[in-house]
Amino acid sequence: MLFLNRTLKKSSAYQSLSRLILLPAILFSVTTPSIALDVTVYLHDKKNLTLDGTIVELIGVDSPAQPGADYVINQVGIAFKPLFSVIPKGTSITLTNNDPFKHHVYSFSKGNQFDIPLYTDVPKQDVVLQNSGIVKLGCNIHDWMIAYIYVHESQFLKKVNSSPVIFDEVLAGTYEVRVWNPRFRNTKRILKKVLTVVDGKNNEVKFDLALEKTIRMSKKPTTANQTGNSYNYSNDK
Amino acid sequence: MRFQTKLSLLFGGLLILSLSMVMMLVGQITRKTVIFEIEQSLATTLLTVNRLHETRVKNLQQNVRLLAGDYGFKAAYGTEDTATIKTALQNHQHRLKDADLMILCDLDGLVLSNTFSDSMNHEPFPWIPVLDEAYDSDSGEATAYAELDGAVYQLAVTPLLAPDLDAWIISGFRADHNMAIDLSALTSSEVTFVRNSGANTHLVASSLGSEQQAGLITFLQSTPLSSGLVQYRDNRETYIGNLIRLTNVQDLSFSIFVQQSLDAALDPYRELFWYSLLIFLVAIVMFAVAIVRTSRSVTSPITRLSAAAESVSKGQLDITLPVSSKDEIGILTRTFNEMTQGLVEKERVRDLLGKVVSPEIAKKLISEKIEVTGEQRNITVLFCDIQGFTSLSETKPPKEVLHSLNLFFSQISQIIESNGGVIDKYIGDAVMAIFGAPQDDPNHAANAVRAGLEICGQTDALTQSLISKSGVPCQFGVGIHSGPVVAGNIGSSSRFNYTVIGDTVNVAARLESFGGRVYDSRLIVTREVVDLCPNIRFVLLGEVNLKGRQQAAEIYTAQSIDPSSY
Repeated sequence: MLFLNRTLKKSSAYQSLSRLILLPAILFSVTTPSIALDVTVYLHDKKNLTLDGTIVELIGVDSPAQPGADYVINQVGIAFKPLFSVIPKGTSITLTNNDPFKHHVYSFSKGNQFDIPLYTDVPKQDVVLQNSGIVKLGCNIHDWMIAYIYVHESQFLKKVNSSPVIFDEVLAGTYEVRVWNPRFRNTKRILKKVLTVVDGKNNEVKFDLALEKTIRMSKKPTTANQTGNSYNYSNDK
Repeated sequence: MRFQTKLSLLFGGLLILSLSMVMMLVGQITRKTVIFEIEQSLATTLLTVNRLHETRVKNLQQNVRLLAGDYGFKAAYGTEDTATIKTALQNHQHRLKDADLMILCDLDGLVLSNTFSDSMNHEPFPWIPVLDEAYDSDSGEATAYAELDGAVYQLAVTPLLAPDLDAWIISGFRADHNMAIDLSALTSSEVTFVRNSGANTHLVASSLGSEQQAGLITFLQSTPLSSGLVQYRDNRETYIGNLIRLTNVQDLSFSIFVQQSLDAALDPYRELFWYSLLIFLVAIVMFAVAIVRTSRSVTSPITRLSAAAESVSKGQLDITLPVSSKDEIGILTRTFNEMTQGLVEKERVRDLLGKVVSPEIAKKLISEKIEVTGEQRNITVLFCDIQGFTSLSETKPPKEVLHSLNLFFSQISQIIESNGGVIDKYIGDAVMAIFGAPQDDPNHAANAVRAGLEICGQTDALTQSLISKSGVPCQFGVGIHSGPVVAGNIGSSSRFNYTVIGDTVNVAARLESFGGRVYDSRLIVTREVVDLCPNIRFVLLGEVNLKGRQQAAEIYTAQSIDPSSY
């Protein structure tokens, strides 16, 4: 399974290729009359596990997401609330500490790395997520504290529990289809495919997912007296 | 073969056999016990080795887990810079002390950095299955043995949480000579790490010496082993070993072989064996001495008894054997002595009886049931009386008289007995003899006449010792008469005599007085005798009146005997 993922992860060359394909497509779309079309994304898990919490994003030149208002992620009972967040690229997030003790929040996620040393209440500076992708928040002094942020850059985004996923009113053009689920073994990975949307044909794309039953993360120690997120995905989706 | 020798060989053989069997049995049991103990020890050793390994791996994982949580290390990892990550790994390896290598892999199995070789970086991790095993385990950790550049490492996979699973940290320590030595010291068994099996077998590391290693590898190459107990011998010693396959990846065949020397374990028992053998030999010598002495004590009395019994059978009755014990042999000897004494007494009685009564009567008394009863028989009675003996006894000392009389009686008795007669009694200077009793004798009359003739024929010799006062030898007369008598044991049940009574006895006694006195002839017989002796020539001497008889009786003397009658 890891081996399969490894082949998909030859990312640098893959991304360069995608950009080369997308650029003329975008140029082409500017000069082409706008026609609203449907795009269908088929999702299938190899083990037929539930697709709960799957995020599907369709990225094209005409549908950039606009940064939202400040987004607050709380720390309550030695846990981040909420566990999963979907935020447009460029949005500022406030990591509010509601616990009576300090937290040290960090992210080593590529493109969105930050480090807020021990603090209480509201940190002095907000964090702006400048790049799309997965951001994993952690606390340096509480291993089991974790939060996932999906930073998207397109308006075409859906959080679904089943397949197929249909996007309507999609203009013809070339798109990058992204799929992510927190139950991927490698939670940093976003599955990506290029789809050219044209009139007169079925614009659809299929993804074979390799989901796990649960998210593997540190368990909260039973000796910890505080209540908080149990990190049971089914309770927090 | 002598009884003593047989006895000694029998018991000696039984002793040697039984002791040999006991020693063999003890030897077998000892060997089995030692082997069993070694096998148990090796099983424990394997458990101990496994436990030590597990403990060491757990310690390593625990330490790596702590280091993985180090924020500085996570920050270094977050740089995605290979050199930075390598120095952080080296720093952690230095902190761990127990680790010989550290590798950092991403979740796709690519080596991000490591402390072993830069050539591994950005290459697939060689042992992907152990990463999958770690992911599938509850703890997110896994261990395995793996080979790297010809060396075998115990690997421990630990997740790097940043904050969830983001990468793998693989730490490892090498299964080397020092590790084998340490395990050997802890378990008192030789520990060897074995790579592959069969002809490709080679030893990765071992606590054995070089010669022992050569013996072990020769054995392992010639004997494919899966697992379990084995016994093999090198040039010097016999070993019992136990092999266990270890968890491995990428078809790495890796085993731990623990062994103990059977010979070394048996050394104390060998010493015991030699002591036992010494005791065994001493016991045999002591037993040999004891059995010879005992058998002698048994057989000597039996030998003496046997010789004495043989002497008794030959007539030597006066034998008394020493009684030296109170056991059965002593009882037998004592009984034998009592028996010989009884025989001596019986013989003395027989001899005395033969002297008191005639041998025939004695024989009859001894051989037949004694009944104080009588029977009527026709017999012949012979009387022989010394004439003038009374005057003789008055002139000579009693002792001399008795001596002379006994000499005379002895000669007379010999003649009578040689002719089948039986001395009935001595009546003063007279002898009464009977023929035809107690044994039947159809020629009793003729035999009596012959005895009488013989007595008369030896007159000079018989009377030589009987010299009267006048210096003339004494004369004697012989009277013989045949007729019916009552014969039997006469007396009480406690005291009796075998004799005959009746008129025949009286007639014979009276006839004797005629011999040599009334007639020249000393031998006087009656008509009844003559009638019974057709082969003897008699001469009629006349008629005489016998006291108690109304008719005169013809008396005869014998002159000759027809030789054919003998």
